Amino acid sequence: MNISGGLKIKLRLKPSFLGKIALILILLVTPLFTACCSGALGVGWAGTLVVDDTLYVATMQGELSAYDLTNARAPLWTLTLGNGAALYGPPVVSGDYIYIGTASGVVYKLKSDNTEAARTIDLGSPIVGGVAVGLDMVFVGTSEGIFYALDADDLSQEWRYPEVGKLSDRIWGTPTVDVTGADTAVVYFGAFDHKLYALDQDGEEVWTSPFEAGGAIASKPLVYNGVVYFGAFDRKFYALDQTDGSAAWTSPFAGGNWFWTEAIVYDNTDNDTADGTIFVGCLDHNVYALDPVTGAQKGKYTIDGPITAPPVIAVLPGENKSLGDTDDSDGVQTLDDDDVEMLIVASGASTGSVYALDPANLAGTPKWASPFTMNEQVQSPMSVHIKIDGDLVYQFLYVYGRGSTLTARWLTTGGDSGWDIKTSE
Amino acid sequence: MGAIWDLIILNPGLNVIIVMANAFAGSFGLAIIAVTIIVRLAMIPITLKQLRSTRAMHEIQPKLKALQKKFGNDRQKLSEETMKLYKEHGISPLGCVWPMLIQLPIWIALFQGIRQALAASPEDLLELSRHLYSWAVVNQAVPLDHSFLWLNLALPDPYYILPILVGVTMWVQQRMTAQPNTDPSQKNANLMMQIMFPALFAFITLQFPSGLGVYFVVSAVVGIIIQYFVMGWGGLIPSKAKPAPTLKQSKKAIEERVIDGKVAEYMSEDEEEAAEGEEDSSYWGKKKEEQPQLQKKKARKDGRIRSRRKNRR
Repeated sequence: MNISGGLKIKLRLKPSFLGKIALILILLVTPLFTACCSGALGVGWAGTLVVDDTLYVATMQGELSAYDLTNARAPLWTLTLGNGAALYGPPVVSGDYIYIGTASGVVYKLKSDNTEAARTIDLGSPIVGGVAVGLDMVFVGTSEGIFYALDADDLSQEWRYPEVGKLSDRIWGTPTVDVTGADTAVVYFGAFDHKLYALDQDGEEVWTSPFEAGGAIASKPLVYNGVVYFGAFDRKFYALDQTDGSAAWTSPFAGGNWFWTEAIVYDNTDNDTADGTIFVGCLDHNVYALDPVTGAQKGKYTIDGPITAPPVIAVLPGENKSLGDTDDSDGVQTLDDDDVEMLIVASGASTGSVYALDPANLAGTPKWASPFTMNEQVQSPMSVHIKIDGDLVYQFLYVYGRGSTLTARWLTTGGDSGWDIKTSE
Repeated sequence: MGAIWDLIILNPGLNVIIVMANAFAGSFGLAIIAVTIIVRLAMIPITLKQLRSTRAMHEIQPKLKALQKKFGNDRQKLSEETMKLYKEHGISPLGCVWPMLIQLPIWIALFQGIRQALAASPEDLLELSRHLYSWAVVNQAVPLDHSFLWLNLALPDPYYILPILVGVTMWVQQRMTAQPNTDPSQKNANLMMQIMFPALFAFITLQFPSGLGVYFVVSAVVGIIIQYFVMGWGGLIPSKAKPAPTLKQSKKAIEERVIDGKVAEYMSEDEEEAAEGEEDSSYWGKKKEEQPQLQKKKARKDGRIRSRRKNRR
């Protein structure tokens, strides 16, 4: 072979040479295989929850941590759950206790101040959806296809569905409990067998038969004004009559990809009519605003990535006060005179862009001048902390990225509040 | 680059696998087998070319050796003569490599497609959504049923049957490809390939979702069948070792090549010496039209032998 410039390379190909090439290829392919296959077990994305001035974070490291939001976000405690198993479902707080399920199949019950030993139950199959608490019961589905109702006190099994055997596919969706009376409740959950189930407090089916969608269901159902809303992998968003599971809309709303996350409703009226708006994020990069009664699209906004974290509604109180943190006087800001409503949506793309939109008009001017970027995927639930304490006003958004960055942002501007931590450190 | 790869190679493969699973009543295991067979059959022309090239390479080994002995000190001449030999036998020096290089991305795409379609973790499932077409049949079929025979295709085989099957089938395939070789270094390289390759894939099968193991086994079995029809059992069933050639046999072998005319120059020194003095008249008798050329070559050869003898003295 003669390369310009006169450099001569003699090409001598022998079988032994080919053997060497093959060996080199193997050596190159091995790490490639390993690289592309690693992470097959998943690392989780559980996310944040704010309750009573405490921020709870289920981390990528399989830990549950608590921070005091009124005391310079001082760490309160951190507990490693099991052997650091992946956490997908966010924690749930009920009374003085926190409940969370792990991918190792264990449900934990912890005292919110972590002063008691955690109570656990091993369900023997990975838990990917979150847990729901209602009527002194903890509801959770497993990858094995069994739905459990556990006693909220000692986590013993109250009942399971189906009573014998299991569903034909996994339950990865978080259930929703609708407490309808002092002793009555209906729990809704979707499964990968394409069905949405409605069970009463005793585990009996409420509908004649489960509703069958055209695809698997991973999203948490939303119950609003007698209607159950949920999306599925068939790219459709459904509305069902709560009483009998019949379709509430003429036809389901069609998106451009799967509906992975739960929908939320924003209703700023005091009456009992369904005059709010349903917001649902889709993996087609759009957040849709839908009419709850007809399913008609009221608006949509396109972001730079798939939406896997549920959108959040934040209402900033209309008081002209200084906005700051107990430890950070640099961040003082002025509020508007009127309430400011915003719909916060995060991108599951590697940019991790977080947007604040106008819920009344998604196509209108966004509430922040520009989205802020985490530079890591945001796939877990975000939380807001809004509190007026005398002259102090706390108005923060807490976001946890897949790169283990936990950050607090000003809700008014999306600006950096100066608090960023890495839970992996 | 990644986007182009996904668009042209990964996404079509992935969606076809899922459609196929739907066609087999949701059995992803059968879909893996069917798609692997289809892809291997579609690549038969390339595979055949590679196998033939490999076989031809093995066939010219004695001639190559003779060349190396003859021109061992003159690298440039050796290179030229080697290329000439390749040309005469219609062999491209990269003939064994480029079919492999063409097939490699297809194998990787199939491998990735199976892995993606398995969606063993929630993260994988989310990633899968990026690659699916909007076809209803595809979106309704996902996530796929992981159970197949005794396996959960998303998990490693708990009974270690599949890794053993992968190792054995790949070893058989490797063994069939390997040709008998007397060169110790080549022999060692062959042996290493025959052990390392299957062991590596058995190890991968041990660690990763068994759906990939099913793909490895089916791919190897199809490869074995194709190879059998092209090259027979190859090195799998070793032929009886040939005794060292006698002087007469060496001479006959040389005669055959000399009669061919074109390869006369590729004789080794030993062969030349073995042939010297024992030439009979039939040596010149078969291809009369080549006699003047061969006579010149013989004269040159005799001259070389004489000068070597002189030097030795």
